[in-house]
Amino acid sequence: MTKPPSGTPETVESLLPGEDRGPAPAQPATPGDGVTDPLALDAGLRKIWATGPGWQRFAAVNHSVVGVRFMVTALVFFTIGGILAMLIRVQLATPDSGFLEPGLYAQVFTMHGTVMMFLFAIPLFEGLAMYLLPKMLGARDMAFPRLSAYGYWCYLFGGTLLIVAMLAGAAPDSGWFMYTPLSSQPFSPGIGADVWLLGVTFVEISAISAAVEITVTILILRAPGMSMDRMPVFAWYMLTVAAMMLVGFPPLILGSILLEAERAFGLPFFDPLRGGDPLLWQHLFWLFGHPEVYIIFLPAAGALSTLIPVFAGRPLAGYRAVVAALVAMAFLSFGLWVHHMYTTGLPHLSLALFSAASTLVAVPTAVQIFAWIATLAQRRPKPDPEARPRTSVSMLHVFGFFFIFVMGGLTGVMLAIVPFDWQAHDTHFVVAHLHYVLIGGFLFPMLAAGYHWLPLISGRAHDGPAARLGFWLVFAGFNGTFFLMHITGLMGMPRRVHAYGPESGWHWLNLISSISSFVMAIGFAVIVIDLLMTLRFGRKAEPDPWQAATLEWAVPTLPPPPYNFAAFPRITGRADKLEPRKIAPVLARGEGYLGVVRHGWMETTGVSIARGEPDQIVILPQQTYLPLWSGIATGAVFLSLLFKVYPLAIVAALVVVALFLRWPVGDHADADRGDLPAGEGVMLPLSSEAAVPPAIWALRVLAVAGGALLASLLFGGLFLAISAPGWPPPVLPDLPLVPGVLAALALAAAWLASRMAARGDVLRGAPMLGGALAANAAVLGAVGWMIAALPPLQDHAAQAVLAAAMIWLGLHAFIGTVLAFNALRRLRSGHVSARRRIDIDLLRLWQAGLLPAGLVVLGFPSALKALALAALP
Amino acid sequence: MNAGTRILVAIAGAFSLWALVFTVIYAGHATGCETGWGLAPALGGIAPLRIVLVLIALAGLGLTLAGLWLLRRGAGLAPRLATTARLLTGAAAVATVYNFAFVAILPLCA
Repeated sequence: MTKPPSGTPETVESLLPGEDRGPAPAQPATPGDGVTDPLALDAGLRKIWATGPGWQRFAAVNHSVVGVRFMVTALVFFTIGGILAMLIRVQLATPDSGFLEPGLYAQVFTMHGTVMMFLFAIPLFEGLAMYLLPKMLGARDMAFPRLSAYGYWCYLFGGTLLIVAMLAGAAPDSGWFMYTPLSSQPFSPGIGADVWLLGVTFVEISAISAAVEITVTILILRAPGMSMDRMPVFAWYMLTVAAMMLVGFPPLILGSILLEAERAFGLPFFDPLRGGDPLLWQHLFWLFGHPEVYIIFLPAAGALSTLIPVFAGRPLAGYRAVVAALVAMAFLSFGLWVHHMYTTGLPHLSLALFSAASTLVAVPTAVQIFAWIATLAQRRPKPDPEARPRTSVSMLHVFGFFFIFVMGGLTGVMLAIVPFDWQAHDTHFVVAHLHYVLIGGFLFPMLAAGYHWLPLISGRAHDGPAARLGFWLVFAGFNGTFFLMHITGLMGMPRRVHAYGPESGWHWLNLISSISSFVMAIGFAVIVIDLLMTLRFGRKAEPDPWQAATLEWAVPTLPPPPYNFAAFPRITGRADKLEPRKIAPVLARGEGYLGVVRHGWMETTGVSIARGEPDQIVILPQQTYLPLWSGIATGAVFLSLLFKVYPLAIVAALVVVALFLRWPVGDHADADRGDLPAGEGVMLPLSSEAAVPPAIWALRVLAVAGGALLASLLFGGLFLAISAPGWPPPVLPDLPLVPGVLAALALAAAWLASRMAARGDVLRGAPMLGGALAANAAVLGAVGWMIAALPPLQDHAAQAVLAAAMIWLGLHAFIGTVLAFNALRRLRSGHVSARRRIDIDLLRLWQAGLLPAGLVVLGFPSALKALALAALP
Repeated sequence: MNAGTRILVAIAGAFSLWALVFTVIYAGHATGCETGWGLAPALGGIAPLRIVLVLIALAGLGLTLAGLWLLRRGAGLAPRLATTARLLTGAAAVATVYNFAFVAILPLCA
């Protein structure tokens, strides 16, 4: 840390570590730039950033509010999942127990897994990321606050749908991975499986929206000067996780859509009697399911990489190796999905590929573990050792993590070895392993994170001995519950059985497991009570109580105000080596970037990705009920599909589109504003006039998810063609040539029209936009023609797959139509100019991506046919 | 190539290549076994399918090592990012060898 010369007043510049110090602050660029009355600035910022009282809470879009809602809701679902776990353990405590009848037991274990994976783990880290990232990065909110709120409502409504179905006795009962054919219509005739497929897909909207949100926020919403190599390591973790979600979730969403289409309309994607294959579901599910384990682990690891250095009193050891390890882990995690399918009869060479990747992933995991140990091993006292706790509650949970996760990792390596997995497959050994990995790798770190950031989130200091008691109860209870499952598993106890006989020899082990599970539950109850007491009676937290070195602790008050920072600093060194206690008062005085209140706009800085140089002022949207209404309308779509009222589903979907069309931000974008002062002598354009505004980044990021979904679909079709029984079909479906050519030409025309609209005088671009709209409509028509020409879709998976690919194309052409309509509308309403061209650029970008993707889809039938014929015996 | 793209390629390029090689080998192997293509021993008693798979793996390794060579002086990246990129590219090279060596050894379709 470079100290200012004696007698020099402290400024943001003087307080930050200097590697490549930026230019000295210039003359104040606006009347409010430079020294401002902090109280007046605080009042002004609160007025425009605060969430209103009463019913206005439903209009909240602020990341702190939405983040906390995600976390609290996730903890409610965790409680529900925990109660279900208790029911399982009561059932298994004694041989031949009659506590739960088999059907109900199947619902209970299915919902336990579903709730914990989809409604607890993912949303909890999403909420934590939403809450922390803007504060860590130096922003006032996420890039798309309304998307966060919309994602939250989708999560809440989707999760509620699952729980209500369970209470109504219509819960899914095919296990949390819903294997076909068990989950297919003949073997699961009720609506339980539909509830799972639609409810989880509904919830996954929030995951995809969070992934887009997190990616764009980390890429461009950072404090000036915070280049990528200076980002706090938590941001690297979350950027990696978000990218994984964009690639990992689409296969599950696709699989759910295909299975629901099979159940609802008889399209036989997974029916081996009609050209489908149950193994396709396993591939699609585990393409999501295995990366999912790392998607859950990495945010927790990011929290560990942030808080361990705080308590060790030194920066993270091996920062570069840790970043490299987590990126490597992200990639490798996509190469192991088949290790859940070792027993499905794959050739040895395929097994070896996946077994090698499964063992390989242990290496980057170990790199992180050793980096944390090295950080702790080299701890040295901070300047004020008295103020630093020796062994905080957070560190207890870190200890719990080390012990439990390493054990889970080691059994993971055992299961990665094919011969061992063949023996342990579907036994309680696997149950033990996955709980050691997930509870060790997620729950303990998140509890550590919770205690670490509790003063930030609540403004309350935590110093309860009850928390230590809670930890030890959970730790002891956990090991008592799950360690013994390794033994029962090796003794042959299969997972998911509702009862076992007294002659099995598993009785005492199961009884001890069950008793221990209640010890663990009591531990959680103690933790919850302790937290509630802290929130209610805890003393007020002092600023930066842990002497952390990241920016989230430089907020002016605890808990932070809704705007986070009254001004933004210029970061000139690593953003995990700051001194928040010194920075906070300087920022609170408005010294730095954007330390003003202007037109009631919600401003934050946008920066270039690599260097972190400010390049735009991002105007964020005010509080609005639009996300709520959009969530309700989306819920209506899913409920209509669930109850098979399809016309209503179409109407509700159109309502969702109409609501989305109301999302574009208006007030600041109705005229050219030119470059505006942003503080520190810098002039910047508004995001609506910037070269690459956040919305363009969002579309690019979303294209990754769309591409992953298409790739999964094409993989599915080709997989069926070479692997499924009943191929080739008696009559290979041929798509008519004319609509295919028409669709290709229309795609090219739409791309060309959008490109011409974006070039030259955009104000004269209406005819081109109209042309793009018409061309997309032509694609839609051609797609309809091709689908109508197919043989009955229920007869064979070949035509069902082709129809699915065409529907993908049609849906994207429809979105192109909507984007063209939106650009036309915005052009006519005066929101488009040579500087404000985002609506047209969005269309151009969309069409540029859709053209090659569409041509691939149009060529897919030929590839499918060729492969099916080549695979003829 | 702008700075953002350069970072993306340097950080994610090598393992993206690993993922591509993984996909092509897995898909090519499955397709070859199902269609029966290239299974009959040909050159030196080695099945053409195996030769193709090995060549794909070697191409992946060669490109990864080329990337490592390009990164030796940092490729214009900030020092910390350059080190991270070198670590990742080196790790991808090791992963390529460890992961795909089996295509030269194990029975193809048994």
